[in-house]
Amino acid sequence: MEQARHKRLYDLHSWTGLVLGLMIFLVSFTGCVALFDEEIQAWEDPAERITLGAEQVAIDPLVRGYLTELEQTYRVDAFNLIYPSEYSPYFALIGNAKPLEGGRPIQVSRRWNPHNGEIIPERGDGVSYWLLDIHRRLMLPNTIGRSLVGIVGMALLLSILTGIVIHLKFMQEAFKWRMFRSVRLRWQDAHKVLGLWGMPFFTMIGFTGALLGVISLLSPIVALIAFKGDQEGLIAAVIGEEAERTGVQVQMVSFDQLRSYRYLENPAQPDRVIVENYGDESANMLLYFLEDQKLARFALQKIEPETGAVIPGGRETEHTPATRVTDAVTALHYGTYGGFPLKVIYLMLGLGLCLVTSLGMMLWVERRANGTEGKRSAKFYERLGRFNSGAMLGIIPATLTPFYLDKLYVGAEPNRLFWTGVCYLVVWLASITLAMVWGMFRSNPYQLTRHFFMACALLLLGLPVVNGIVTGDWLTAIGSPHSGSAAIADWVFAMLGVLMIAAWKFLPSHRPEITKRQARLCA
Amino acid sequence: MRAFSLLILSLLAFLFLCSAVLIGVPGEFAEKALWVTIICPIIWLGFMFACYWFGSIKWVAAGLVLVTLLCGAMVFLTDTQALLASVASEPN
Repeated sequence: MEQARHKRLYDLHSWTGLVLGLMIFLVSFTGCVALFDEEIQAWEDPAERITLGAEQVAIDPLVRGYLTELEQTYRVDAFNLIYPSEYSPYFALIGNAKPLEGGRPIQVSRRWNPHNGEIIPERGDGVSYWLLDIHRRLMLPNTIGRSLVGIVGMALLLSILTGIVIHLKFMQEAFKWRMFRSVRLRWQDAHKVLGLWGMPFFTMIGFTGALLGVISLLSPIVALIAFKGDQEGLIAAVIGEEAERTGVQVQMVSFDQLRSYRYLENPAQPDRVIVENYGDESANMLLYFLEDQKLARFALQKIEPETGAVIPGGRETEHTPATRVTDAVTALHYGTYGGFPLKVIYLMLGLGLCLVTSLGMMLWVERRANGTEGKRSAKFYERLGRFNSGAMLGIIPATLTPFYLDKLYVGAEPNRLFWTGVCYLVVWLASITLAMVWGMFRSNPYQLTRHFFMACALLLLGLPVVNGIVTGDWLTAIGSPHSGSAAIADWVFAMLGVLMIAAWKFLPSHRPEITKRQARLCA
Repeated sequence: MRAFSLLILSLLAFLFLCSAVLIGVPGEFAEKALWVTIICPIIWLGFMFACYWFGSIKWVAAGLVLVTLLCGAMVFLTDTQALLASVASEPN
């Protein structure tokens, strides 16, 4: 490749990484945690620790009663009824309700114990919701947030593509890791080796992430261009028109009867029923089956709402090549098609992406702070390095501290998410400030990194203890059916804590000097 | 100039190209929309990469502007109402 082109692409690679590297790190780290949102939900909410037995109450009268109660003040156009499952062992109804007196629609929800039909107290969204939403849309309004995350995915793809083009000696670089050379060479080799071995996964996660995010940017703009601003026209063209209520009341099929339906050869019961215009002649019902062993997130089956008969065909249930590809995107991105072991593999690879990104950013600073590149002063690059360390390492305690808040929170439930966010951002900002202030008094950033690791290890080891004190479920509850997932989460926290201590012990406490013997060995 | 082409011109060219494909290519609209969604990151990535691959950025920028103008002309000269009517008549 000609030298000028190589330099241009190298510049693009490094600047993309530098400008959006922190965002890539944030999105991939929160994505790693969000992979386990169902397990974290069981850890968060003690009400979810119900042993699911075979004897369960009839849900149909409970749903009808709740809808009648709501109809006094709202019109419920659409709702989901979720059946009890391993991770959500209760009945739940989540719906959109429009006030009869006018105004904005609100979300209504209720949960019932499947064994006695008692209402389970509502719990505000907490740490699992926060982490998943940071990953999906950075807690910003949907269109802006998802578009930004999509752009982060595009930046990752661009970094990978330029990285491939500027490092064409794959076979040599995939096995070259000079452990006894300078810090810069060690980081550079680690960046290349991890980047090359993880490239198929990173490309897949970048592409699917870009696709899931960019669609939010694309749809309103394409609607603006192709449909001259008529976004409703575009939605109607892609999804179809919404059915309007006719006002003619009809008898609906029982929700208990629908639980016995199965989708093709899938032995699992429906995960939920999606209902529109319940009780009206124009009602629609879709059974939603989770496809957790296939490269698709879900399968839908249309149901005749009055009789419960299966309606073959329709846009919702017929698969075309394009719908198969789009269904596969979500399953691929969230690793839902291979159970818990696949999620663990995704976690490892996701953390690998965090490591590649941070190594790339550290390398950029290192080349300027202790090398010949760059036009600014060494002090400037040193400060930039400290900011990078604080911002990247700070995400770990910022992620862990809200778990403590979740167990110790005593405020109103609707405010739980707000305080989770405050806790997350305060700890993150405090970590960045600490890293910056540390540099004013101590010149050794290696010590700071070690302290961060030890703090994170202690935070991780403390989580099972706090859970045990607050809920009474200790690490020994791993075998019990009612707190299985929560106990697994506790064990994972404890093991990660031990790993962090091992990493703390392994990390150097000062900038490594290469001995003459090591240099001779390497030569 | 390269950074401007990468950030702005490639985005405009990609958005207008996607709109033109949606309007111009025959077939069921929902299916086309899904395919465009699937290939859009690749198109955008290709445009951005081209800004740094080719030596003369002026030619790349001119190419991106040309794509934007051609697709824009096609989009704005198409009768959207007729398109919406044809979409509405598709089997749902």
